[in-house]
Amino acid sequence: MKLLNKSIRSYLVFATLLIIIAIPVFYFAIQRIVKEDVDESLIAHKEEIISKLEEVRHLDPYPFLEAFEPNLTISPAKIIRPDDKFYSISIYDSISNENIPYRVLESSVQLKNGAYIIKLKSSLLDSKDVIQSIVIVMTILLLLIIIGLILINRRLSKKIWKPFYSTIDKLHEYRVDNMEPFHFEKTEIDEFNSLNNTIASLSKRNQQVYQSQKEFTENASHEMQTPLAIFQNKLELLMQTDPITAEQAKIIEELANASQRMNRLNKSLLLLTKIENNQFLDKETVSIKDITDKLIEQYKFHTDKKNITVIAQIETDILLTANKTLIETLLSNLLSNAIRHNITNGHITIRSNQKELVIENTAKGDSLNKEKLFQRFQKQSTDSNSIGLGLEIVKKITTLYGYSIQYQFFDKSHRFIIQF
Amino acid sequence: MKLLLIEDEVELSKSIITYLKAENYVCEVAQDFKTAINKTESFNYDCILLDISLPDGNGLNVLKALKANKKTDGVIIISAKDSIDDRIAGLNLGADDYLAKPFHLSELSARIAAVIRRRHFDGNKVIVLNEITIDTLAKTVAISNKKIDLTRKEFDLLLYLVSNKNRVISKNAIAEHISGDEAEVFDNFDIIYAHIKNLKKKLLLADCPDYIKSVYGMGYKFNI
Repeated sequence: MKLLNKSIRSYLVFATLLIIIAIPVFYFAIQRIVKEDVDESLIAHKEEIISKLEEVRHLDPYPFLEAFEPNLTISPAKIIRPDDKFYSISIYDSISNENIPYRVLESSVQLKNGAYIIKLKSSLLDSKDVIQSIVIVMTILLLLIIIGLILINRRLSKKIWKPFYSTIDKLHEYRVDNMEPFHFEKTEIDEFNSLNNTIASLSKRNQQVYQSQKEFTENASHEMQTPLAIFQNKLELLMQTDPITAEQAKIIEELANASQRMNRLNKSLLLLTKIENNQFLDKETVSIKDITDKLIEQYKFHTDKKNITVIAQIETDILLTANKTLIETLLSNLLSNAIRHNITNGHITIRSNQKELVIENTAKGDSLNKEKLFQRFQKQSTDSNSIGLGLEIVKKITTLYGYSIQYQFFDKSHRFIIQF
Repeated sequence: MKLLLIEDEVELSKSIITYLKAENYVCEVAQDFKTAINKTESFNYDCILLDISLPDGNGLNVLKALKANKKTDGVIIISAKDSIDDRIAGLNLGADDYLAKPFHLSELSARIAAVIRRRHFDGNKVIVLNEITIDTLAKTVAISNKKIDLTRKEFDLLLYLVSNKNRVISKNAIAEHISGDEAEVFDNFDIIYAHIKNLKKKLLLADCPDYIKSVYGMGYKFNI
């Protein structure tokens, strides 16, 4: 749930509850007040009538009086009740064709010529309308206030949280290998400034660590080249010494192989750093078909030796705008893996359609560990020739150009799929 | 043949000189930029081996100075920086070749021989060793004036062995020389054995003595 909605939701719940409770309470309160008011005026009216009745001495002037006072009924009473009685009734009105509520005051009085019951009624129709109007107006007012408050709060929150959202957006785009430092706008809110400062310094530290680590790999590889060269050249000189025994020759050969391997490892590390540093800038149109054909021809000796059948089904060529060396490295790494980790009399199938290149080969063993496959020095074979950087280089090149690479194990075959 | 090695790493230059002296080259060394400029201004060399990163200057400036003085010394850049840009920059400035460190001494020797052959326009493009005649321009080989048919790789291999005659060339050096980057992908030496075997067979068929010897499996030697 979004931050904004979260706070507004609480407001909404409160406001709805308030309206549900407040409006009936309000309605009944006003109704009560109106009733009391009507009752009071009925009593006043009654007193007035009684005092008038006292003055009239005739025995039966009451129908006459009733004629003038349509809300008054006077009838003889048998017993005198000391207190007044109020009640509400509905009377059908034939003109307006509806039931009209009335408030009635029933009171017994002792006049000189006997006891009477006086019934005084007062229409509540007007006050009902008034109550309804008041409640409606109040409801509208209440709703307006609540809606207004929510809207204002929403706008205010949006404005307040805006720097926060912009920080989140910036963090989304953050990449540790991007050397651009963060630029946060200064906000009025101290907490956000503090958050931004913390993030900025954290990211700066990360970038520095990353950078120095990258530089370390680069420098180490570069610095390693001179001693490696010295080592290799001294070995070559050692080979020239005479006499040399078979035993010594064996040791020298093993040393030479080890130095060759170090050399290769170093070169691969340098290549990785170069890819990471984006040092392969020049791009051209590269034909996947041309490179594949060239590599198949180049590796013919090795495929023939293992009697591997290479089937290249590149119906439509894929043309990429990329660095040719890198694409060659990408394909030669995958293809040479397919040869090295193949069985005798095996197969290699290279298929492509417009967007996809599939390299599939019969497998020596089981499925490779997909999670570790593209990681540095994750060798999954006992082949001492492999230095464990080939697939990482492949991954780095695909990442650089935004291609995707997938591994599948299917029908005892390794399958790599590159989507361009 | 006079060579100048411009290289600040003492151990490296010692190895290079030891190897090259046996080829009857006269080798001089310049360990820094200043000495290099002085030497190249005062003398002519058949081939200059130039390290780009020197403690007191960029080796490429030595190259620029050479060209400015209209010197025609052959130049091979030996650099720890193996990048295409450096390679192109060096070659554009007029270097004859570019070799990335670490390199095999046998490779360096072969490249020097090639540069010197190219620099001398007086018909030095043919190598004659007893009955073997190698025309480096036409890329043909004749045994006792009878041409033999070699593949491109076999020719390269023979020329490489001959350029380092009477030296042991390691299998790694041969692998790198004849198959380039491929050698980095496949570590087995079968491809070398195959090429050596074929070359030896073709030479023997042409009644050429067996000069190519295996040295305890650590390398090969063209013994003459």
